[in-house]
Amino acid sequence: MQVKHSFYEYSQILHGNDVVTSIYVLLFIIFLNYNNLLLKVWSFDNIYIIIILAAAEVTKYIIHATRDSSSVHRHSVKDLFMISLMLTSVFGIVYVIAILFGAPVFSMFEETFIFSVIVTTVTALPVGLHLGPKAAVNMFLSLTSYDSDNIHNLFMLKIRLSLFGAWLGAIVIPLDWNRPWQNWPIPCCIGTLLGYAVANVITSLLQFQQRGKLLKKAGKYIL
Amino acid sequence: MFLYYTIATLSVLLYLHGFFPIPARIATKPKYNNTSEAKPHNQKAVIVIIDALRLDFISEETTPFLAKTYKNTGCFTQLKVETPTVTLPRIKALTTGNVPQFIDIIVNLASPTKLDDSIIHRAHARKKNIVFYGDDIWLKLFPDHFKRSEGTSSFYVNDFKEVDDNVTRNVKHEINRTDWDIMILHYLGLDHIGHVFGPKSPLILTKLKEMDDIIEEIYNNSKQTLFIVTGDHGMRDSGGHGGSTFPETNVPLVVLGLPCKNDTFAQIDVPANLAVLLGLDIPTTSIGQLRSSLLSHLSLSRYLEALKYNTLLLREKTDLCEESIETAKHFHELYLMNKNEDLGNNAAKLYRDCSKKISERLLKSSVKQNVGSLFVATAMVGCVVLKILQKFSGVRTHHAHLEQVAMVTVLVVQFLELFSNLILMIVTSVIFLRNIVRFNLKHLAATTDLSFLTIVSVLHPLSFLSSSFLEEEHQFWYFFAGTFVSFKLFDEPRSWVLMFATIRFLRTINQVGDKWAAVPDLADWLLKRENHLFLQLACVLALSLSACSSFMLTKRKCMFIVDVLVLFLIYLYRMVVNENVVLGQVLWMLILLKFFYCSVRGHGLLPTWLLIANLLLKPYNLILIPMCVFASQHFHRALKAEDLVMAHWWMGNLLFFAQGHDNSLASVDISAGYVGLSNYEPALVVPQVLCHTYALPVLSHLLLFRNKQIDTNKCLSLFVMFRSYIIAVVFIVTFIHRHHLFIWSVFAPKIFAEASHFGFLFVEVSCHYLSQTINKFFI
Repeated sequence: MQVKHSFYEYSQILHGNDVVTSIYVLLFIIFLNYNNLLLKVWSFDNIYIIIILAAAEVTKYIIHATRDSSSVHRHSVKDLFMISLMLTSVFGIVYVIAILFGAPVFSMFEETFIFSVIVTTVTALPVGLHLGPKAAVNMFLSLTSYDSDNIHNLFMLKIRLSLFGAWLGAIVIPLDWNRPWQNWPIPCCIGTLLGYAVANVITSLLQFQQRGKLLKKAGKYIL
Repeated sequence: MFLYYTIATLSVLLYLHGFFPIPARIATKPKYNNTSEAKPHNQKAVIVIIDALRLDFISEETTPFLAKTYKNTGCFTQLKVETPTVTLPRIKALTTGNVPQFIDIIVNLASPTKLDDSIIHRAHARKKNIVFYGDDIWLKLFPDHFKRSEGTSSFYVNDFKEVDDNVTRNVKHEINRTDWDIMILHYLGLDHIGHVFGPKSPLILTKLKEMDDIIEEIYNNSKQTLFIVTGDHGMRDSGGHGGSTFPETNVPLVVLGLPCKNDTFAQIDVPANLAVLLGLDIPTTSIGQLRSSLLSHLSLSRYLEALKYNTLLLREKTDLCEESIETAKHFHELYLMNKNEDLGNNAAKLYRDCSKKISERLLKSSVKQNVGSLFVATAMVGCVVLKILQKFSGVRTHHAHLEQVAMVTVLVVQFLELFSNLILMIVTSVIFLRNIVRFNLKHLAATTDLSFLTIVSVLHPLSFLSSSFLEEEHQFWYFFAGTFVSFKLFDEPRSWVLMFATIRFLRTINQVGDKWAAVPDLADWLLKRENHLFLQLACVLALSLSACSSFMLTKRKCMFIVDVLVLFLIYLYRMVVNENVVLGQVLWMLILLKFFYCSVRGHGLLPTWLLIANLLLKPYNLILIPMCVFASQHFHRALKAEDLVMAHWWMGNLLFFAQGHDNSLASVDISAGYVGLSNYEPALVVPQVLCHTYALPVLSHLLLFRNKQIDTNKCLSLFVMFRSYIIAVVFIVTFIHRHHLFIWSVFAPKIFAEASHFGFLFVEVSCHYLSQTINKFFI
């Protein structure tokens, strides 16, 4: 079901979401660092880290839904089932891709699992909640060739930058510095989160600029 | 164009010549003589060198006699050896007390030069009788210094038993004779086992017990003899040696028959200490220090005399520590007058500190490199890269012939060092700048269609600035190949996922590099005795797939029956008859037959090369060959133009690493060069080793050129351009890092590796041009 979005109203709430996201993700990483949890982010004991991230996403969606119920994708019970299916398949694909890129096949299940869950939480969950499972699947299938001129572009930017961060994090793995944070999957997980944070900063700035243009057009100057 | 390739090759040789100069050693007559006539502690000495002896090979379980005896009358020292951890430089270090240069690793394969001075020379000068049995390299180094000797060949690495039995046989005779003063033995069996099976093999334990028993036998049959058991270098965890890992650079030194203390010092200290222990002159080449742990049995006056002698010898090599030495001499004289212990100890301390300073300074000082040659070579290679780019973008050059003549002249003149460096550097800069100015980026961009792989290939050499990425270069190739494939996943998921999975699988066959080299890989698993059946299955599967791919490539037009026969015989050769020499020769004959038949029919080198690769590759690596062919088929179907060319280029590089090679010299598999040979014959072994090393890259290139739509000359120019670009960057990076800690263990081997890649590519290009010329004349 395609939802008609009034760009201005939609982006105002999302803009708020993005600003808040960029701040809290960065603070979260710093918090983890100071509590020495960054090195153990892959352990099942610390799965509450991911639960916090997932809960944050859901909270943002709920806030969005309550403040502007017309522009939000309506979820039915069937949709919930579709979303879980989509999340599981994205998780599975990320797991397989991580292995194909070089993660061990017959060991380190916990590590690769947590990595895949983090990537799914940060890329698939927000898109699935805000735009619906079908749109999310479309976005993933056209990762390299997506080009749209509405709000979906911003979501695509977030997905791309998060994946790019995960990819970039692998650079430090072969270095011979013998640091604990060089082992799989820590640099890639941090890379994903940082990519997500940076993407949110960029989308906030883009929306700020866009909002400025719209206001100018509508003749209102709010400073 | 071919002239430019030659210019690039000559530049590479010039760089090697400038970076690794053959040092001129000046034998100075010592101004200070050893005037001591005191009797040494031991009358006789037995020096046993066990090639590739690791620190953890000496223990109660592995060498019970040695471990027990050194605790009673002797000591255990951890000896630090320098790179390269290869036999010839290490023997030179053990005997001369100096650090040979990296160039010796190449000289290791040819015949080594004579030495000017060493502990052997000094013993010979004092009329000591020396007998030697073992590695024949000693006979080349010391041709006239042994009373009796017999050499064993070190290059036939598949022999573990006879090479040592030939030594032990002579030892048993020598024990009964009394007319020798020093016996030197050099056992090679352990090293050979390590190369083929690695340090964890049970054969190692049997060999160590054998060594232990031999030493016990000699020990029990001799009295008042000084025993020294050591290794020339260690063995890395994967079995080879040549690099700088801990197990390679730390070897044990067990001394028996002397009251001494456990210690840790450098291999170059050994000759100086040995000279003092045996009452000989210290070799003039030695830069080592005397160690109190070995000389504790000497009286203080004798000890001070020895220290003074060594320190003054060291002082002659460099002007350091002059004042302290004078003070030490003064204290020494005072001690001799009134026997005050404190004065004596002070003198000893001053002598020791000074000799430590000088020794360390001499060890660190780098060999003078010819910066002019380095600059000219790098700039010339850069010029060739620009020239090829100009050809691609269709730019015409004026006075091309004049420029070529100028470049060749500059190279030759620089090599012969006829002119001053500065003038030649200026001339080279002028040529280079002229080419840069003419280089038009826009024109180039218009004629090429940049693929992702091209961009990454351009950025790839920049990773060489980090030594980690040099050691783990294979990770770079695997990772970016994976990235390329994941972009392609969106076009055609099923086939590209299969490709991705294949790459992932092929990576697990061999673990290379430094960080994860000891992680068990599929090859290790298949080589285990209990998994022999799986190895046979893998071999059969790979050979059958090779037969399929051969059929696919030539469609029975080219004596397919010979292919099947050869592949079947290869199975027998590897798995059934255990590499029988005659069968190997038969296989080479069949391959030669196929070559002549196929080339006449115009199918080129590809069918023959497929068979050569199957013959030379180790059984667990055979699966790479059909995978290469199938991948190439897939590329031809799914990719266009530039992507296709770059994909084959990448496949060649990737499979080079997947086969088990990396940027260290220890990864070259010498045991692969003995198909159809029973002895070391350099003219036949070296080509086989080269073909084995470059089997898969050449196969990838040939599979690319098979496509009629591909312009082979243009592709070869592209490959030469990339290789030249890579090697130019390697030259620059190595020059920047010439004082880096890893200069000899990481960067210098990379120069050799890249020079070797470039040389082999040049051979490929030459063969291609040769075949083209022949075709023109005969058709």
